[in-house]
Amino acid sequence: MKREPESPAADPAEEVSGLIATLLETGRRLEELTSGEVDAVVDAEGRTFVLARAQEHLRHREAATQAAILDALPARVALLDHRGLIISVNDAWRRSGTPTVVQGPGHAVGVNYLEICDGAWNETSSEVYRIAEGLRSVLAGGAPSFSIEYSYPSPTPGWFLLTATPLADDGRHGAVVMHMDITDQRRDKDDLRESERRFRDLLANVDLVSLMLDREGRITYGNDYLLRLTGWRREEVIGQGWFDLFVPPGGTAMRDVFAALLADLPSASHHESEILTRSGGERLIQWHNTVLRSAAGEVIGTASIGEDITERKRAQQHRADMDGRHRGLLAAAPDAMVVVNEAGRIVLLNVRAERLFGYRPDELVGQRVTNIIPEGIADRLGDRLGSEEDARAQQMRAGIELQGRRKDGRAFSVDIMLSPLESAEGMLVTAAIRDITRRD
Amino acid sequence: MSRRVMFKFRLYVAGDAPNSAQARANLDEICRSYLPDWHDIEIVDVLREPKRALDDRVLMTPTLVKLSPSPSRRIVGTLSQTEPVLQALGLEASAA
Repeated sequence: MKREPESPAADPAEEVSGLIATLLETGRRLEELTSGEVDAVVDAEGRTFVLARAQEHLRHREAATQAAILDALPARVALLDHRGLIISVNDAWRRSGTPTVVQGPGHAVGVNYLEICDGAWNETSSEVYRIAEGLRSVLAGGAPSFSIEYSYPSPTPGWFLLTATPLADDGRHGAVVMHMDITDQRRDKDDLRESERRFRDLLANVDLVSLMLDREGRITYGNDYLLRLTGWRREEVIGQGWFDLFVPPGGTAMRDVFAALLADLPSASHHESEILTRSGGERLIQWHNTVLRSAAGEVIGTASIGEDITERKRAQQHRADMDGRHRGLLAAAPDAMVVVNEAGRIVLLNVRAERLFGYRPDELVGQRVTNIIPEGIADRLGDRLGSEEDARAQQMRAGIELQGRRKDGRAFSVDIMLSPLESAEGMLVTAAIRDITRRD
Repeated sequence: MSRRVMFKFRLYVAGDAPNSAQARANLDEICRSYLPDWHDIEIVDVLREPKRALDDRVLMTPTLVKLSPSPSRRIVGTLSQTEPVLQALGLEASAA
């Protein structure tokens, strides 16, 4: 039922005045009754009435606590009313000094923050406009909150994060505006971005394959070198299955490595495998693999760096074939044969040589050649290892006579013929040694 | 009366309003001086728990209720006047 005013004819101002007088008298009487020793009274219905002095104290205490909390914050905080007027600011805001950063802190209580932003529209960037828009939206109850990162040019360039949050569920009671200095975080982020960019440039420019796959084996990244090597264009490979395009039919080893990598097995970190070029050719790649993880630590794919070792492998194979032939020739040779490397150590010899110098099989391999020919050979080895042209010119010349030394120390005359030999270990010298003692 | 009896108190306060804070400090001091180790104090903030005040028919805060040993007693105010308080709590006779 709608309540009728008790005395419609009475002046409302008079009535208010009367009620206040009653309230004050009630408080005074309660204080008197309780000798000033009571803070609150409760009636039989449970209605609590806090006496004036206690009320004042509690209110003051609450405000002091909140101010202390706000003042302890390093961020610059201001309280705006629903119109955008600055009602209260914390210590950091007060200390932030000059309002030269027009959109930033430094403005005093009583100033309208929205008007400052509007007024600054001509002199700074569009950030100010966006700040004003965002604040208006929060104060009108349209946005639950608003935040923006903005730069300031002086006194030293830096960055702030501004956040505006409504005081109640909507902005009609005002909002809290907070400016946080995020210059250091921004700088760290920029540094990280720059470092990532350099790393990407490095991957793009080295003569190494760089490849990233997702968990399904689809290509998420491939550098220019991979494309040059295989003849594909980037748009033709990104998003495609690596194993469909690049792995020769039957190339199960690479699939196994990929599965092992995703399972985080360390054994999968290095391997060699052949990949297909667009024209159907094959290249042998030596891979170094690692897994890519999400921020949560989950394996989300793989990253690999690969070196094209096709030519190197071919050369190695060629040399190995040559070495095999050399061994055959050595065994069939009528003379004692000793093969010496650039360091003057014996790398290979035949049975005749072992017998001639009185050593057991393989005893001489790794020993210095001077152990069996003490003098006159070391300097000649250098000659033979000189230019190939010189070597070839000399190899047909007659042998040289030197003293050989057996294991038991006995010396004997030998005729030695030196010739160069290209092998997997680099240039070697073959010495054909003939015992000439019997000639004497 | 043996001093080994545990004294149980319940103090009703209105947050940390001045009289309530004073009562709390005075009760602590009394207990420390007269009942070291033989007291137990429960604080009830009527601003947070108005129903408890109503249930216990506490109409003014601060109010101290001595729950045990019997007889139970109530004292309203800051507990600043030590002698009457000790008397009311039945502690005077056993005071040192």
